[in-house]
Amino acid sequence: MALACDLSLEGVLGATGIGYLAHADESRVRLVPRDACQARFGEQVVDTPSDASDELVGLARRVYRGIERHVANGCPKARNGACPTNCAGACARRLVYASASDVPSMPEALHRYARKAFVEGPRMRSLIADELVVEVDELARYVLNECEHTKQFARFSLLADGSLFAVFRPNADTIPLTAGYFAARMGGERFCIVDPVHRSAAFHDSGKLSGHKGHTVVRLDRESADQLLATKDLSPDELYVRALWKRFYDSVALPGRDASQRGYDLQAGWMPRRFWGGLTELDLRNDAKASTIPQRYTGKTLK
Amino acid sequence: MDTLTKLGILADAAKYDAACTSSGVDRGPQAGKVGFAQGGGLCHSFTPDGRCVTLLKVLMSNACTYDCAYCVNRRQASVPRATFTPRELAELTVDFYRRNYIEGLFLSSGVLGTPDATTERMIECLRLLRDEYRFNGYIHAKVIPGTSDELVDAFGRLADRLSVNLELPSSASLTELCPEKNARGISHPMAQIRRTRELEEQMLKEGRKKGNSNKLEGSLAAEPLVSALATNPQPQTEALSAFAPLTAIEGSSRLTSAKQLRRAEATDTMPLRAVGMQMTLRPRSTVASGRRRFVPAGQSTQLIVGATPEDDNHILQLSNALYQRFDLKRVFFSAYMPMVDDARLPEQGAPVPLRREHRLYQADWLMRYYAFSPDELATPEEPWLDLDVDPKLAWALRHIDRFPVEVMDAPIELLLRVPGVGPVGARRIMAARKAGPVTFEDLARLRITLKRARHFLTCGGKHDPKSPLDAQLIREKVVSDAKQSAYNHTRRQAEGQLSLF
Repeated sequence: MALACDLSLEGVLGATGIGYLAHADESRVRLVPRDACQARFGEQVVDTPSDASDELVGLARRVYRGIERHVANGCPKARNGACPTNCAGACARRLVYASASDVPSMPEALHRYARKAFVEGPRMRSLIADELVVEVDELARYVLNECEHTKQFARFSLLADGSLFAVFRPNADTIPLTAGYFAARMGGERFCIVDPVHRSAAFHDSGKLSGHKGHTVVRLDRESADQLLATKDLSPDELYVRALWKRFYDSVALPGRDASQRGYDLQAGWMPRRFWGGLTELDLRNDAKASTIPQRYTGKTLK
Repeated sequence: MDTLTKLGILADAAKYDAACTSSGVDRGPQAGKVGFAQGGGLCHSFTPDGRCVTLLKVLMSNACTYDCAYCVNRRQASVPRATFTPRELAELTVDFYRRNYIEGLFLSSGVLGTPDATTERMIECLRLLRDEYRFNGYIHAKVIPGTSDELVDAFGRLADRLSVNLELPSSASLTELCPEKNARGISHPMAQIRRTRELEEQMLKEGRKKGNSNKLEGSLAAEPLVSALATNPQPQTEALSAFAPLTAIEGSSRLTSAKQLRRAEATDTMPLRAVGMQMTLRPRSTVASGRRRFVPAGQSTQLIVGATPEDDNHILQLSNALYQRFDLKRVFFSAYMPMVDDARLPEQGAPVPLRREHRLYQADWLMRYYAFSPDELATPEEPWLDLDVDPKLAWALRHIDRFPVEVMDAPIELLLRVPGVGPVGARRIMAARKAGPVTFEDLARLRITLKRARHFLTCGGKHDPKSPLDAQLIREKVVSDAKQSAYNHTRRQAEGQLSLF
């Protein structure tokens, strides 16, 4: 039996819970992405509820907490019987990261991992060389890298209304995982960051700084995504500030240490080329002289 | 001159400073302020030469009255000069930060008249950032040797990290190339920073015991610590100098090593401490960086290598002494780039000693995270690091009798000595072996660098028959593999024969 589910933590854990509650033979159940579902010979495909449904979210939450309890059982770091989610061993938190992966095998990998966690309990923490655990670890590691790339390479532009706007195209659904980071970083700023690939966006309004609160993550339909991407109403200062950043970047390169001297391209190694199109410092248009120099940067009135 | 032109001049003038980290302090977001600082730091871009750009690294001014021979901004150099106004630079920092270009500011300067006058200008910029623009991001500032204690203190309460550049690895080289600088002028602020941090730590601990930490933190923020220091002098530390005769530094190092050895003999292990994912011999403060008000991310320094004749042994002993005596967080090494015609320096066109710089960073890493002592990496008899193999492998090949190490029962200290096994890998091995026997296939899944490690390990008493424990063979294999790499091929072409100086 193939359970078709959404590619999200709620979708995958909810489908895992459905398979468990149906008392289906574990070895004969697999999870497949709803949008890329292909039945094997003789296999029945069963559709699971959408990850927007309250029932599925509730079931997913039960499964997640169950894993936390089973893995944390006997763990000296457990709090109120639940995994603290930041311990060095196998913990439920890695499921959250892995579930943001775009890899088609993700739902089944998480499904097997969850089943194993219920069977192994606290022993799961030391099964770090197990193939199933390694597979989920790899997914989680990749997503964490993409989260890091999002924090590093998202570039905001100041709009005419004073808000900040960024478009970023990661290889995993990182916006829900990094929105809190940007909200904390930006303080009272109003901002929006859009990922058109996964059609997710984070909005943050000013004056509501409280840890991860004050921001909202939404799923966009195609029309809303296109509308946001069409945003071009830049602040009059924006082009000059971009030129400043490009000038700074161009000025700090050191001679004698580039790819021709090293034999390999360290820059591309650290900063994958797929992000270069969105980087202000690599956009040659920012070499052009901006028509307006903001008063504060004219060098005349400031002391 | 508009800011665009100034920025081009003053960023270009600052690019030879190697440090660009924003790590060392965890300070959460605060209501009404912009930004925060996270312990791990974050790189926002990478230059064509592959260096991380995490901070807006600029000089306040490149109009320098000093005449250091190696410096592109020296008094006699014919270069365009510019100076930021404090507000202009503060505006620039906030504009870049809001757009997610940077984590904060790295502010250095040429000596604009006197050290105090220059520092006052930098302090004004930092004050504007912290008080007026409510900037809560990371700030790294350079202390100019000769700055008065009061200004260093004020600087330290606005910046997250301070650094005093050692510049050159010996007092003799400094005297020869930097006529306006001297060893005491450099070591004095280093000692002051360490003392003030220690005093603050002590006060915070006492405050915690008495349960009045909030009141104490408030008083620390309001009152310059330099006045408190006046009543708590520590003459021994004051007398120290980074350039004191090296014998004194070595003596201290050996004393510590001897102590460590005695402890190691008693416990049959090395006295390692776990600090996060690191293993280190150095004690760690129990006061969180976020609670500190004075230089919460600690201090660092930078050395130029390849401009003067000091060997790697000298540099590593010096680094170790700096870590111990001034509690430095980092010593940065900057391979000298010949930019100046001067008979006392390598001529223009000489290759930049990138490989040597890389080996020094590796050795430094081993001292900080793997509990190696400098004596294990280089000696007066063998004063240069092996350029063909990394320092850890070089050590293992010199001590081949200590291997192989059994994966199933080796202590973490021993696992850390295995080439290809790092702090994370060692912990993974220790976790995995609790679940049952660990094989070489398991090690590969744990992301251990088996290409190196398999020579030095046994799994359940079994050695990999294809990877013999033969020092000569291992060296030949590693050197042969390295020769195939694009890096080595290119560097050999650039350098001709390997040259160390």
